[in-house]
Amino acid sequence: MMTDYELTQGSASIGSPPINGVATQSRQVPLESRQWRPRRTRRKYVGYMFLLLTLAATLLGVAALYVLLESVISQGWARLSWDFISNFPSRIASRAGIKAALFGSIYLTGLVAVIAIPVGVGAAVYLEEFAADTKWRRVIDINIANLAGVPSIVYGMLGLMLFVRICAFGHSLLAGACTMSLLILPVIIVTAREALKTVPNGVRLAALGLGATKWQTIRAHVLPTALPGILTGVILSLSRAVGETAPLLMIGALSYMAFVPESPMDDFTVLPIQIFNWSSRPQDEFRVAAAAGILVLLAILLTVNSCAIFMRMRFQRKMQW
Amino acid sequence: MVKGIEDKMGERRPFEPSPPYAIEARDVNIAYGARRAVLDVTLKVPEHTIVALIGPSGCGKSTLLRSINRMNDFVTGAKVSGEILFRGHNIYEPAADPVLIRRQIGMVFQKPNPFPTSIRKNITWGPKINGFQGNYDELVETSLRRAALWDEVAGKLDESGLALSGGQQQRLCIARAIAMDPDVILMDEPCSALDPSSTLKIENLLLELKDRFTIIIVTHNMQQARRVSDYTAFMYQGELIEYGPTDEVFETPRQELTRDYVSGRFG
Repeated sequence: MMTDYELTQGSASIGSPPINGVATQSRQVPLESRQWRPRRTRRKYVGYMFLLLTLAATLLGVAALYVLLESVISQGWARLSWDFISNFPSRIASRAGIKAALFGSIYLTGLVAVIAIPVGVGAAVYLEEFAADTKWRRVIDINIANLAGVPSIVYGMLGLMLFVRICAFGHSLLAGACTMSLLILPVIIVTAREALKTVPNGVRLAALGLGATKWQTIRAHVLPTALPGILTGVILSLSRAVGETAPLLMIGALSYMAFVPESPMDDFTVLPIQIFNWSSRPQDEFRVAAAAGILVLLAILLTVNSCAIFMRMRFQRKMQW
Repeated sequence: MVKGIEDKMGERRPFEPSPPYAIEARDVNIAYGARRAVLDVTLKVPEHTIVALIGPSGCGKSTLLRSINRMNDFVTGAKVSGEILFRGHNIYEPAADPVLIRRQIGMVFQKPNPFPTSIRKNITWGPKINGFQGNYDELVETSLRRAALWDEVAGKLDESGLALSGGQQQRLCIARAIAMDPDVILMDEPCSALDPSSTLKIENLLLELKDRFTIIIVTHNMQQARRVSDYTAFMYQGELIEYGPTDEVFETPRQELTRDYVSGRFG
C-alpha cells in the first residue's frame, strides 16, 4: 500500500509518465522539514575544535618528553660505556660509575616485588572476593584510595620511624624495600581490585555451582582471568618504585657507596639518588654523568614496561576469550 | 495478599505427586533484607521428572530455584527459612555443606557461561576438583554425547568453549553440569538467550535427560513449560499459587489467577 502511494506521488509530480507502470526517476524531496533547525555546520565545527584540542594535548605531552630526551641524550650518550656501568662512584668525575646504584635499584625492586605483590594482590582478593559489603569495608576502601594520594615523603617518614627505628632494620636495603612497598601497595590494591571486578560473575557462579570452594574458584578462574590487569598495575607500580627518591633519602640511603649490597641488611643506594647527587655537584662533568645515569634509568623503566606488555599479551592469549 | 486466593484458601490443598521425591521444600520463606521474595512455599519434586516454575517477573521463581542448591548464599542479605530436603537431609541445617550440595545439585544459568578455556577443560574441571577417579576422556565424551553436542565438537575439544555459538555454549554448560553426575539439575531460563532452533535442541535434550536426572526449570516461556515439563508450579508475588501436572495447570487450572496467567491475560 505504502509503496503504491509513494510511487504514484513521485511519478505524478515529476511529470514524466511511468513506463509500464514503473517510475523511471524519483522526485527529490528536502531531507529535513522546516520545523527542525539542525545547525549542522556549527555542530561539525565544534566537533572539529575538540579534535584539535585533544591533538594539541597529545602533542604537548610528546613534545615535553622529546625535549627531555633530547637534552639528556645529547649530554649523556657519549658518557655511556661499560666502565660507567661497572665502576663505583668516584671523586674523579671521569672515573665515576653507577655500579652500586644500579645493583641497589635492582635488588630494591626485587625485594619490593617480593613484599608488595603478595600483600597487595592478597588484600585485593580479600576485599573483592571475600569481604562482605559492610560499613567497615567501605571505610577501608576509602582509606586505601586516599593512601594512594599521600606524598611519598610522608611514607619516607613513616619508614624511618617504623622500619629504621622500631624494627631496627637500620638504613638497610630491607628498610628501603619495606618503605617502598608501603608506598606502592595502595596502587597495587586499587588496580588489582579493578581487574578482579572485570571478571564476569557468571564465571564465579559456574565454578561454585560445580561444587568448587571459593578458593578453588578464585585460584582456577578468577585470578587467571584478572591476571593481565593485575600485572599491568603491579608493573606500573614497580616502575614507580624504581624511580622514587624522596622516601629513600628520608630513611637515609647512602649517596656515596663503593660496594654492592650483599644482604638485605646492608646499606644501599639507588639510581635516582645517585643522579640527584651528581646533578647537585658544581662540576660540569658530574652533570654529564647524571645525564648518562638518567639514560640507564630510562632504559630500565622501558624494559620493565615492555615486560608488562609482553606478559599481558601472553596471558590474554592463553585465556582463549 | 492476592485477592481471590484468600477467599479460596480453605479449599486449596497442596498437590502431592507420588514419591520418591528428589527435592522437598517445606514452608520455605526467602527474604532479601526487608523484602520478602518467597512466601511459605511447599513443593514436592518427584524423581526423574521435569518440573517447570512459571510466573511473572519478580514472582520469586528464580529465587526459589537458587535456594535449592544454596546459590543464594552468595546474594548479600538473602535469608532462607523453612526446610529443603534433598535425599532426606535438610540442606539448610547448620551441619550441611553447601559445597557437597552444589556438587549433587547442578545448575545451568540464564546466560551461557563457559569457562574461558578449552571445551575439554570446561567438562573436566568440576570432576577434577571433586576428585573424580574414572577415565576423563570417557567422561568428556559421554557428557558431551548426553548434551547432544558431541557430533559438533568432537574434533575440536581443545578449542575455546567461547568460540562456540550461543546454543552450543549452553549445551556445553549442560554437559559440564552432567559431567558431575548430579541428582538434580536446576535451570534458570536456560533458553532465554537463545534462538528458536537452539531452544528446540535443548528442549529435546531435557526430555532425554530426565531418565537420569531430575530437572527443575524456570521459564518465562509458557509453551516451553507445556512442551517439556511433567509438573508445573505457578508462582505469583512470592506465593506458590498452583502446583500440579502440567496438563491440568494449563487446561483446567483450579485458581483464577493461574487461568489468567496461562491464558496470557497478564505476565
